[in-house]
Amino acid sequence: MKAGVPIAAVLALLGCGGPPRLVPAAPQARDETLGRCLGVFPAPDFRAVHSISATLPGGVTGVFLGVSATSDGGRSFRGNLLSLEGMVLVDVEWSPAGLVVHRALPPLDREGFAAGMAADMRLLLLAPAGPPREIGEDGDGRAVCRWVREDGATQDIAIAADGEGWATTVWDAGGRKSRQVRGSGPMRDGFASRMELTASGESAYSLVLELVDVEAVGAGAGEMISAPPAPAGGCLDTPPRGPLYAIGASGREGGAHGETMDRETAFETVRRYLTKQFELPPEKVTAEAHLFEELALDSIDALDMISLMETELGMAVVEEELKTIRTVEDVVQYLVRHAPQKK
Amino acid sequence: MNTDGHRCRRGFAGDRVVAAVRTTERRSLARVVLFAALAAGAMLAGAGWGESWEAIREAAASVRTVRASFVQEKRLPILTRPLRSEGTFAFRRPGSIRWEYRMPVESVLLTDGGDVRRYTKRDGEWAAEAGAGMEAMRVVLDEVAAWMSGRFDESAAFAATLSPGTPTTIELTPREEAIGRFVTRILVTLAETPGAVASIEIFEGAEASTRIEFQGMELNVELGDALFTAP
Repeated sequence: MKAGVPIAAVLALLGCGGPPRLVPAAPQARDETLGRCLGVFPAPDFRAVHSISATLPGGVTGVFLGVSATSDGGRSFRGNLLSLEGMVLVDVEWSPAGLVVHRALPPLDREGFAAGMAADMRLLLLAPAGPPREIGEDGDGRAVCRWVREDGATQDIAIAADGEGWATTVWDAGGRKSRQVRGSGPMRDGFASRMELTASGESAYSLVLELVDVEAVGAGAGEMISAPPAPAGGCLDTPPRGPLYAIGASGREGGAHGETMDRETAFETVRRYLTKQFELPPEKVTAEAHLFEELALDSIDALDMISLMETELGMAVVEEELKTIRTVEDVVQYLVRHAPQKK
Repeated sequence: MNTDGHRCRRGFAGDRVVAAVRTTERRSLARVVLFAALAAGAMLAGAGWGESWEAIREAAASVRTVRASFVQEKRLPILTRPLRSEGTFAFRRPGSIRWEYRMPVESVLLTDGGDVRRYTKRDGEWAAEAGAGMEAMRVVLDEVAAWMSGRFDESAAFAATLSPGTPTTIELTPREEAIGRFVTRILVTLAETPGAVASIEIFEGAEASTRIEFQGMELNVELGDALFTAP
């Protein structure tokens, strides 16, 4: 029985062993090694779809679809977890300013799930912030870049000696391994075709992500998260979407216009009107759709629409604002500003 | 003009709107007449199996089985192009359903009227999903089975509005706010063939939606038990 104590101690030490020692890279090799480490992250911005096979505590298994998109040059992202049938279960948005949960359906609405999902997505999708603390080689001959994060955790990115595959490992501030991601398979637009994430600790789980589709996007990708700025000297084709993304963690809009219609109701009202009165396919009536160029309405149509809403919703008509209406979103925002909330 | 020398359209359409105010009444009257004519035409063309709940139930009563392939398009605000899925659907009265996806992930949802089971293909083998979540799918499949039996207006979860026409559509809106938080409405479009559904569109809020379009629908073909019990 006495032998059990030292064995347990050794196991505990192994679990808390912390990151391995690195042999520092030669100065002339540092940039090349760092490039290889950062090469495991797609850049600069992308939209991707993965299948996610999850093995959760208690032997619970499930397969989901994950949709992710980065913006702001790979510093922010939005992620959706979908059922295989396509239902959005969780919708989160992360930026250095914080986390916004747009949607979380039971039982995935429990405290901490969205934050954990966002943390895993950061590990999978975003390069660590700032320069690495160390660049070198571990005992297995792997090229390693090491960051020490703001939360005191250490994050290593290790590239296999043969160049086939990579691993990201995180040790918490106490030196315990908390997460590991292994990437393998052919790269596609900067993505490994397969990534396996293992979370250690009391609620250990594992995720296997298989790449389904990926699309690299340009500098405009940020528009999904923040309002696009007007191009200098150019035309602003889409108005800023202030209230559209002012959504709190409950999934409800923030209520900046407490006495008027919320954005979701306004959009549904406009969509219902356009599909019914003008027999437009619902899928064409998107927020960005241009009333005249894409939906083929004429000015009388637009005026009729506003007039009918004025009558049905009891809202005021502000002529000056009508001049700026060009898209479905313009009409929606007009309702948000002027249509009374239905009781 | 912008910096590229192109003409800016800012305010152009708005000016057209304001300028049109003076002619509104005259044009609106013309529009009412036009809509009335169109509506009358639509009603005549739609005078068939989708003109009333009773007619829909009668048509559906003649359908014992349904088999079809489908294409599903998921639209999300963060995607520039819809996420496309393909699969097959099979239904046998009273409540057996096989809902199978062939891409992007091979999976099948099965019920023969009792429990709901989901299998996914991993490394070439079907694996049963273990855990919670199937109860929610039970509710969904019960709803689908009711639709396939023409009982749209009997749902405890959704209020149904029938719009006869060409095509006939049925709009389902949640009766309870709890459901409305994740499904704002469902639009079912009936096919010309009596008893058949052409498409289903599910709206999750303002900009996320799923459209399922059925193709090659076959009615009343023989569908064996195994189809609804094994992947």
